[in-house]
Formats: sequence, C-alpha cells, structure tokens
Amino acid sequence: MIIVQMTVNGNPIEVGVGDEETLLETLRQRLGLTGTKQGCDLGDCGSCTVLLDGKPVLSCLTLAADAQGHEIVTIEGLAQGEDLHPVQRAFHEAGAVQCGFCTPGMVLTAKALLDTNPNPDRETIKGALSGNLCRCTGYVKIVNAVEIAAKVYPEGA
Amino acid sequence: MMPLPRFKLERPQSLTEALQLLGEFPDALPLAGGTDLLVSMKQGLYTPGRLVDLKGLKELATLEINPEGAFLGAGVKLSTIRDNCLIRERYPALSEAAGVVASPNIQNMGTLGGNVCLDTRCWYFNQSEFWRNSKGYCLKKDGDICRAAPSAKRCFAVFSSDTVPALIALGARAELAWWDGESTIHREIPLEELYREDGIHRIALKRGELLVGVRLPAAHGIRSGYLKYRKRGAIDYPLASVAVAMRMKDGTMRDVRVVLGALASSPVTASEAMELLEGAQPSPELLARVTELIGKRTSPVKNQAGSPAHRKQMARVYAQRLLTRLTA
Repeated sequence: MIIVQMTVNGNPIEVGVGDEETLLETLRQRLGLTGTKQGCDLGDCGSCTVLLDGKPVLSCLTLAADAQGHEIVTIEGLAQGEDLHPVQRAFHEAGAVQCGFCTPGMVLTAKALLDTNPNPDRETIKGALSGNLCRCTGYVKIVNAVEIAAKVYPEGA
Repeated sequence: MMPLPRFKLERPQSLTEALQLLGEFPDALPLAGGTDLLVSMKQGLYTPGRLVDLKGLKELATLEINPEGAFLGAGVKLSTIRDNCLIRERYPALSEAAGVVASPNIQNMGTLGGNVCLDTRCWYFNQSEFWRNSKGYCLKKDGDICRAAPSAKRCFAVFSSDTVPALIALGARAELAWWDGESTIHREIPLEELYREDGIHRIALKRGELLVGVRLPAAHGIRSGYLKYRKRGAIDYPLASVAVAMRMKDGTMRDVRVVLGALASSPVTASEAMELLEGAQPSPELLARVTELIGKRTSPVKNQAGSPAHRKQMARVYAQRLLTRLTA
C-alpha cells in the first residue's frame, strides 16, 4: 500500500493505493467518482481522460502512485453547484451528447484546449479531440459545441 | 476491465538509484510514461516483478538546445518536444514526428525515451491473453511459431516508433548508462546502432542499461520533415513512415538522409535513394526515380493493417511528397 496525497477537484485528499492500481481505479472505486469512464482500459478510446495539472491524460494508463502531489480534475469538478461549466453547457445546447459515455473525456479535453487557446479553429478543435473516440455522434456536434463554448471563453470559464 | 498484473513499484529519486535497481533486479523493467508498457502488461505480454518508475528523475528531464546542438532527456514528454519552438524551427522532423505519436493526450504522458525504446508491434502479439490463447501463441510471446510468417525462423514484429526515423535522419546519438556495481558507466552510440532487425531482440541495450537522452548535432541549414501513414488520423501506430533531412547548397542536395519506419523490425536507412539524391539538383524526374528505390531491401509481412505491398507503396508516395516539399 502506498499513501498518495493529491488534490481531486480542488479537495486535498490522502488515499492508500496498491502498487499496480491505476488512477482510474482509484477515482472510480475508492473515491466513488464514476463520472470518469472505463472504456477500452488500454489507452485507445480516451473515455478515462482526466486533467492532471490542467493537461488531459488517460487515467487508465496512469499509476495512482504517480498522482502524488498533483492536481486532478474529473468531470465532477467542473460544475459550480447547479451552474454547469461553459463547455458542459455548450455540449447540452449543441446536442453533442448521445449515449454520453465519451462525454466526460470530451468535455475535459475541450476544457484543457480552451484554457490554453480560447479561440481555436475547427481543425485545431478536431486535432485536440482526436484521441477521444465517440461511437454515436459523428463528431460534428461535438466540434460545434466546443465552438459555442469558445464564444463565452474566457469570461465564462 | 484490464487490471495490471501484480508488481512492486520502485520510485527512485536519482539516476544512480534507478540504475542500481535495474542492475540488481533481473525481473525489473523501467517505467516512463507507461503508454506502451502498461498496455502490454494489461494484455499479459510482460509480467515484471518490479517497475522502476523514472518519473522522479531530474537527470532525464533535461532539455538543452543551443547553437552547437541539442540534448533531449529521455524523460521529456512528447508534447513538450512537439510544442518547443526551437525544436520546431531547427529540427522540424522531430517536432512533426512527436506531434503524430498516438493522440495529443497520449503525447502529454509518453516520453521521448519511451518512444525511442518503443516495443515492436504485430497483429499476433499486441492482443489480450484471451485472444492469443484462442489463436495460438506466437514466437514473440509463449509460442514457437511466427503466426505472420509461419515458415520463418524469426519474429517480424514491426518497428513502430515515430520519433526514431526523424532522430536518425537528423544524426542523433543515444546516451546510455548502467551501473557496473561500483559506479555509473555512460556510453554514447549513433542512434541507429541501438536497433536490430529482429522483432524480439529488437534493441541493443545491455541488461540494466537505460537510455538517458538523445544528442542532436547543430542544425545549420538543415531542412527536415516526417510523414506518417496510418489508418486513422490519430491514435494508430504507423503502417509506413518516412523522415528526411538534408541541406541545400547551390541548388543541390547535400548531406541527405532518408529513414523509413514501420517497414521492418528496425528503422531502415534508404541508402540507395540517398546516394542518388546526394549532390544532385532536385527535379520531378529525379524524385520519381528515387521514389522507386524507397523500401528496396525491406520485406514487410502481413502483420499490420494494409497489405505489405500497400505499405511499401505508401512509403514511396510519402517519400515523394516529403522530398518535393523539402526541395521546394
């Protein structure tokens, strides 16, 4: 057992994890944050994306022990109470959610993009989201959603 | 659910400590970004008793770029290589290669050293235990026959790194280190000497030896680029790739280097093409003749998406595009 101290969605936490435990397993099974999805579990699909120090990474290929001292943001950390994050609101408005399984990863990757580049063009958005697979939407509405969100950045962020 | 097999995680705080651990425990493997190794471990392809986590090592995080050249630490993230404006300006082939490894999110995790030491890949190897058990094991893991080329005596798993063809074209040298029981020993070799044309014994590292970083010569007047062919625009490993570096002097091509990826178990230097280009003036006719020589002496087998002939043809197409762009 390794004791890991990290910040999850703004809250400092301390949790005991196994050597071979992934951050995804810790988030879902120990912390109950099941918004982070387990898809392929092999680094292909992007549904387990979380932000580590603001950058999107795949939690299925991150050892929980390596989160020591880092700041993790999951999809549960975006809304402020009842107020959705602008990217979440835009996904809702654009109808960019169908089954919803890829959505947490998509929203977090899009948030990280807009945090560094508040005015991306469509190609930049597609490039940034290229590691997040969606099997329902055909991606058009997802890219639309990020464009909608970009209009209210950075004021609304 | 693809749980990791059990292992003991070692988290050394210095290069010396890491090398001591790797030297002391024969069942230990180094862990950098984890985007290749942890996937293979989840599939049961590797079951090391210990993982030596390299993330804490400052020695591997060096990134020095000056007029005399560059030293890129093995632990530098691929996204850092991709976004560094000096690398983009002086070594565009490397910047382009780092930017097409897997996906942007994986580039935030994967390291240069991990991509340089990337395992070879094959349809019949990179599968779950369940899949391999059903199909029958292969030479590279647990079996005694190559499923891709059953009459062959060796493993044809494909060399799949993107950054390496670019680095070799740019004249990179690998800095390696190991612990001899008393002190740390360093050696530096041309990067191409790190690879072997064998899908299993693919890399010429001694036991316990670690890649510390990669050294690049000065980039005076070098034009370079990297193109990668793959099924999708992201995530996938290359089916064929080409890196070119050259100088243009008085309208002729000098110091031309053409390196191919994903057509063999090691990177391939396209020497026939390089000889024809060296000192010549670029023309569409010459580039067309050169293109015919691309992939000569490579004989890929059917162990990736796309037929071997298609992969070789795409290497030619991409080489022509890249040479046309660089000589324009």
